[in-house]
Formats: sequence, structure tokens, C-alpha cells
Amino acid sequence: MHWIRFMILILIAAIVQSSLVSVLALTEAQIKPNLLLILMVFFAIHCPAQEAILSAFIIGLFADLIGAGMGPLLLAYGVIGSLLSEVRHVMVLRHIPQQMIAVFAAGGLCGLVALVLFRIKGCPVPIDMAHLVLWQPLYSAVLAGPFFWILPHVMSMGHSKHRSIMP
Amino acid sequence: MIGSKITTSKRTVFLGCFLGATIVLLVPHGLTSKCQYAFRRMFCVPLGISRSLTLAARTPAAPDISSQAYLQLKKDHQKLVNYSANLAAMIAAQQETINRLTLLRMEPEWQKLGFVPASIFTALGDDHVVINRGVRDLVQPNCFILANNAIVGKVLEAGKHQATIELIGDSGAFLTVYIDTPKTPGILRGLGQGRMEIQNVPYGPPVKTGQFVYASNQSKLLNIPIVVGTVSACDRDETTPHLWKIQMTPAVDLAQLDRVDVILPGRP
Repeated sequence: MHWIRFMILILIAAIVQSSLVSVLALTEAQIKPNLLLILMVFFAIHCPAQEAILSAFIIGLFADLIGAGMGPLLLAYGVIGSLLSEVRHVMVLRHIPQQMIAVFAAGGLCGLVALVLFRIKGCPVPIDMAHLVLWQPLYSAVLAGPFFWILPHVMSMGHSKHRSIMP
Repeated sequence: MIGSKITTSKRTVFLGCFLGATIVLLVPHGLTSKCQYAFRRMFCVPLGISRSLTLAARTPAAPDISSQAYLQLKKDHQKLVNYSANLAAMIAAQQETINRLTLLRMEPEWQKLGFVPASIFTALGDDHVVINRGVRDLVQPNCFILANNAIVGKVLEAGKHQATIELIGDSGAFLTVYIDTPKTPGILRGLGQGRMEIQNVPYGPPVKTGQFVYASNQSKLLNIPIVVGTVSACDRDETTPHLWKIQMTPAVDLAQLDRVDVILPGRP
């Protein structure tokens, strides 16, 4: 993987996520998509296992840097990203709709884990539970389609040999 | 690791990252928040640009100016709107005063008089009020007070910035008046609590209810007749049969006074 390109992409995503994503907010509850979640799922699906695990933790780190406290999202993204990189060995995630479902599922799980970790850490939870576990992953899943179409070109991955590895 | 192949096993990578993440999680928030501040400080420029773009996208189109300048202008605009509203209210109040004074001076005789518009800001009992004009505004004791084109009282005392007004209904108030047509002179005496009667009117010339009562000319202070009220009841005085017993209703409701004009002896 092109790590420099990866870092630039994550940095841009983090900056955009911290403010510019507000433009896409829906309803009065300010439901926003999570770009870092989309990227985490993308790299977990498309990279070799070691790179997927590392990229998931790095993305989690950036999510925490722009978030409410350090640790919860780092651990949640890392663990769920690692799990997802394992899941692809038993489940086909070749098509974009399947990947969108993976975004929703991973987002929900990340939300749940992060909620528990936020309470352990004693940080204020930035958004309410339904938002974190349901609405944000759902919105992210809807937006993930175009991203999953563009990102392989940006990262020069194309149809990588690692993509959707079957057992 | 960047630029080189990852040779460690995925289990090692996961455990290493997981341990690192757990340590970060367990470090107190006070310490880790410094990392967040450092990140934000390091990327303050792109974060600022991103925020500006967000604000620009959220706010209505403001051509040729930055979003911050637009917000500042919007704030200034609101300030000006409020200032304008206050100014409009002040102009309306001033216009009201001008209109009142203009109407007073439409009478040619009244043009010789000077008027000082005043507001009543407190009442001392039923028949005394205090106005916001005093010696500094050329108000002197015994000056007549006009309200709605009728005499309502006289200045009792004048301080530097305020004056006490004795209304015509006060038990100590006296005013030389005449009942119109035929012109029958008398003395208006207040009986307190807004009641008043006209005394010393000889029983001879006919007096009827509804006739106007005017303040008599008083040298220097009032040289034109101005209405005071109307006769509300008249009867022959039983104790002094050669006099009328006349009651008067003031031309203005004395309990509802708000703004008055002090009549100056001459135009200032």
C-alpha cells in the first residue's frame, strides 16, 4: 500500500470530517456521515490483513484526534477493522452494496464499542446513542457507494489481489 | 514501516496495536487531550479553511466577501436595525411634541406665548404632580399648565430640573375664571379629589350646565382666555341666595394626565 498517500488521505478525511461534513448534516439532529468509518471499512476489505489492521488503528487514532477523547474510537476502529479483515475470508464482500452493508454493520459495532469505552474513559459521549449506533452508520453506508468506486483509483489499488479474498 | 514491506504476522501487529490503543485509552483524559490540541494547532490552517467553507456553505450567499466578514456585517446590520428602530421611536415621540406645539400656535394669540413641553413623572397625591421641567427650562412658580388645550393647573414650586404642579382640583387651588356668554366672572376653587366649584358668581345672569368656563386674563402670566372646564351643575346657593352655587367639570381628565405644556409669560 502507498502509505504516504494513505496518510494524506486520512488527514484530509479527518479535517473534512471535523467541520466540512456538517454541510451534509441531515435533519435537526445533525446526522452526519462518517468518512473515517468508510475509509476504515474500505481498507479493511481491500488490504492484506496486516495492513488492514494497521490502517484501522491509524484511522481510529485520527478519529480520536478530532473526537471527544483519545482511546475509545482508536480501540473500536482497530478491533472492528481487524475483525472485518478476518470476516472477508468467510463472507463475500466483492460488490459495492455488500460493502455498504459492511459499513453499516461495522459502524454500528464501532458505535457500541466506542460508547462503552467512552464511559470507561469517563469522557463525555459526543453524540447520542441512536445517532452513533444507527443513524450515522446508516448515512455513512449510503454515502459509501461512490467512495468505494473512487477510492481504488485514488489509492491505485484497482482490483487488488487482496480484494474479497475467498477461503 | 512506511515504504517497506510488513513482515510481522497479523497477530503481532494486532496485539501491538491493541496494547498501544489500550494504553492510550487508560491514560487520563487530561494528558491525552494535549495530543488533540497539538493536532488541532498543527493543522489549524486547513481546519480553519474547512470551517470557513462550512460557514460559507451554511450561510446565505454573500458575494465578494469572506464568511467571517459576512457574519460581522450581519451583526453590524442587526445593530443598525435596532438603532434605527430606537431612532424611529424617538422621532415619533418628537414629532408628536412638534404636532402638539404646532396646533397650539395655530391660534394667532397663542403665538405670543411660550410653551415648554413636559412629562409628568410622578404624582403627589390626587391633586399634585411633578413634571420634568424646572427653572433651567424657564419654568417659574404660578406659570399655567396646559393639557389638551385646556388649563389644568399652576406651577406651585419650581426646582432646577423639576417643578410641582397644583392641579385645579386641589383643595387649596384658586383661579379667577369667567363663565362664557354672558361673561360672568367668578373664582374657581378646588374641593379636593378632583371636585371643584365656582364661587362668587352673582345670582342674576343665567348660568346653564354645559357652559364653558375660561381662565381670566392675568397680567403677564396669561393674556388670552383658555378653557378650564364646563359647568356641570348650577343652583341657587341656599345659604347666600344672591350667589350661584356652581359645580364644574374640568375640560381634561386630571387623573389621566401624561404630557403637559408649561405656559411661559412670553416666548423664550
